[in-house]
Amino acid sequence: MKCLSTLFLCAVLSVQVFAEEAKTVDAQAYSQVLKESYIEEDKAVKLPEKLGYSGTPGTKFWRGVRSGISYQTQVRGDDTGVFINADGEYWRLYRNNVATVGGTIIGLSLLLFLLLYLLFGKFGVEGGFSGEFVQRFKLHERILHWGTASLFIVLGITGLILLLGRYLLIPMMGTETFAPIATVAKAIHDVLGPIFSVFLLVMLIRFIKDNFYQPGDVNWVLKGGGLFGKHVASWRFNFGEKVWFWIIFFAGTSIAVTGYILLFTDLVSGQRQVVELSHILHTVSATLMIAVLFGHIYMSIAMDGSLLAMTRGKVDKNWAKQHHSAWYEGKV
Amino acid sequence: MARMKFLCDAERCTECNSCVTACKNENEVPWGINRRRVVTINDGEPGERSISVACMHCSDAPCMAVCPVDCFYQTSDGVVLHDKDLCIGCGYCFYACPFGAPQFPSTGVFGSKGKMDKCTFCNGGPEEDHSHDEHRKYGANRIAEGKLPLCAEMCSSKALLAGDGDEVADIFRERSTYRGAGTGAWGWGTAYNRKGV
Repeated sequence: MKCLSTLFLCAVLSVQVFAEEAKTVDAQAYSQVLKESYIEEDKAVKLPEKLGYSGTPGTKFWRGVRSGISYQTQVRGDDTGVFINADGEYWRLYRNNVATVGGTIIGLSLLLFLLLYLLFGKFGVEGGFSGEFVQRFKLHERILHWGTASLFIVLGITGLILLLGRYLLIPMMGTETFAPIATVAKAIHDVLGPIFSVFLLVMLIRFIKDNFYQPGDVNWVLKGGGLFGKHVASWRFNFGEKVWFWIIFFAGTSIAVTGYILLFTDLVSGQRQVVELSHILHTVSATLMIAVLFGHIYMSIAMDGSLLAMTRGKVDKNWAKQHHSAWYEGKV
Repeated sequence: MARMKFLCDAERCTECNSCVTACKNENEVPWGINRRRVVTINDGEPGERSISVACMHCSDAPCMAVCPVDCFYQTSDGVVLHDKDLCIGCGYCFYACPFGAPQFPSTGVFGSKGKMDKCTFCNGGPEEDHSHDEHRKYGANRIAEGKLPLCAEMCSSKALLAGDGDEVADIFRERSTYRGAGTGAWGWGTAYNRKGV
């Protein structure tokens, strides 16, 4: 019995030893193969770098399709050689964000100034109106102003229809009714845009002289523009009006330039980023201008006697003494 | 029933442009508009690959999201279509689309691009199926006849597959398995440092 079990044990052990040996041999051979197949960098077969290591298109190859490179294609057209435009999605997200944020800002601005007018009404002039007038704006200045203003209002409304119509008007009237409105809005917007740019240019040139910084402007701001009772002097345009002018200058110019790019997109074909950027800038500038415009309109109505300056070109002497005393003294 | 999808097998595409020609013919697409195009990467060099591109009928289509007049809609099969009567030709969908699928008939003065046209998966438009108006505006409606888009049907090497997403994926998976993915697997060389193998 003992003999058999020992024999058995020997057999098992020997088999194990052989097995171990076999495993060891295979592993050795395998690692040898691995070592032999490893090739040093300088001895390796040189494959086109853009393919990546293995010779068939890998990540290096495919990465290029999103990069905006224009490849070979039989179809001729705008950007047809580009496989994937990765930035279009960002543009869409920016645009939808600008639409929502910008729309909210415009809505809040309108509400703010409506509220201010309802709360505080009109601001009169100390000592009332005298009945005697002094000229403030000549005829051509008024024509320029109202021409630019009415064009801007139509452009603003048609622009907002295109920007916010889907979110505000379609829920009200449905797509079938909105589409013709949007078509007309776009046509009007496209045609009036260049006309507005001409008016804007002439107006900016005409009014820039009196809108540079003058001594006393900071003082005017610090005294709250005379809002808190005490009189403070001002030139032809006070600091607030000058700020408005420069907003028009920069935002209006960017609207006009980007507007031209958007009208003639085929002239910038192959540079879709230019069009996308122009669109965002155009929308942001326009939204900003519309929001501040409500302030401008509020001021012209709430400050009693101001509107007359642009409609008739003349202002009451007491109004001039209160609002623009330095300018008035220069005139008389 | 899964969504309708396109898949172009870049390993098989020979740049024959049969898909482009078939689409133009079947849908009677006017001059200058190309619903489908074949893009060839590294043309003439080792590792050249071609892919046929048209509207990919995205599940969350950016064109649909950006349209100011909301003229896009998606069928229950996942096909993204649009209504030319509502389209104002603003071009936003072209800028939003990663594949440049929307096409416009004219460069237009003062931004008048005309009505947008794009691949419809041979599924027509909102007009009544097989009506004269539908054919004139949107081209063939093969899906309503129970057929698949002609570009995929005409593909000479069966590179372009179109149809039920699950079936298309199955076919491509079988092909990849049969072809072998070993050294063709992306990152193989990086992982195993087998430069040149």
